[in-house]
Amino acid sequence: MTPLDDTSFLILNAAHLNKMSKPQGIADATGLDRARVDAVLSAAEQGGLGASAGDQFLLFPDGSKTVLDYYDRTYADLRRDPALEAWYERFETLNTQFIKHVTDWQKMEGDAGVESKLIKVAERLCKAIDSLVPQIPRYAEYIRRFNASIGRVDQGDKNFVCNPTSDSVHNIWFEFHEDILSVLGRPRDTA
Amino acid sequence: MTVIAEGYNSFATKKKPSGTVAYLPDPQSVIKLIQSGKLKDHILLVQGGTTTFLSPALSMGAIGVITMSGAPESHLGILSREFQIPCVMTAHLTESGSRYVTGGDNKAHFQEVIDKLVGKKVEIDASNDETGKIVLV
Repeated sequence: MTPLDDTSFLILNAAHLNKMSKPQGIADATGLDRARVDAVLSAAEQGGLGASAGDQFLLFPDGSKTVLDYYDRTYADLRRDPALEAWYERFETLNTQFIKHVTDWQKMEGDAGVESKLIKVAERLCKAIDSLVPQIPRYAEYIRRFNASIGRVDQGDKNFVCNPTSDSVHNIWFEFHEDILSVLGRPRDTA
Repeated sequence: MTVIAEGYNSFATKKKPSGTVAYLPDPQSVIKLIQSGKLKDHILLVQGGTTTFLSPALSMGAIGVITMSGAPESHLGILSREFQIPCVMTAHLTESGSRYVTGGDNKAHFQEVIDKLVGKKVEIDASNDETGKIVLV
């Protein structure tokens, strides 16, 4: 299988992370233009790496493997850095807090106090991600997306808290979690 | 009404989806089911609450989900509430004493649940706040 170039990686990685992405969503998440996204997805479909289903693009296991091969090549040195492991351990603590707040927010029908806690944890993650940007420059996109979604929540748009079909704070968090696990070369715990 | 399995209820709902239980162990099986056009005929059985490869099925109209591990706070629990898809988590068979053990070797337990549920026509009763039931129909 031909190794992915950087742009093809960004596009297929967006499909790999999101699991239910639409081409425009990939363009928005990556900051790449739609024509480029369509061209890469079309080539991936022709190469048997994925397929369109309804308005979504599904990455096949071979497509995910190609994406993960890019991670393996690109982040091999970083995986040996104990500082990144330590960073991830701190992230796990934030992640536990965030998941609890999201669950409470859902069960309490959008309680404002819970929403405030949830957003504060997301803002703490943004600061933490910022410290990784020198090593992983594309992580700046997560900060941009978090800030945009947090802004929408601040304006009262509840769809940007955890709606799976918008670029919600929870969606971005989930994608980031998948991403950092892939950087570290760790499978997700399936419990 | 025969309750054959029960577990944690992701959220209480009056929806009572019914269908034949299909076990989805990997991304290939999810994609195959979506492409078959029969997604809505099935209640989807997966192993855990972080089964992220199920997401496309949830967004394309899955009617009900059963997991064999994981809590309502897990990723799948969060998504099931957002999509309003009834979801019974860490389901166990009512006629068996076998239970999921966190951090343990659960292969035999999972297999017992799979053997009992797959291919059966069931209904999910998610009307209770805490416990979701899998009813044979």
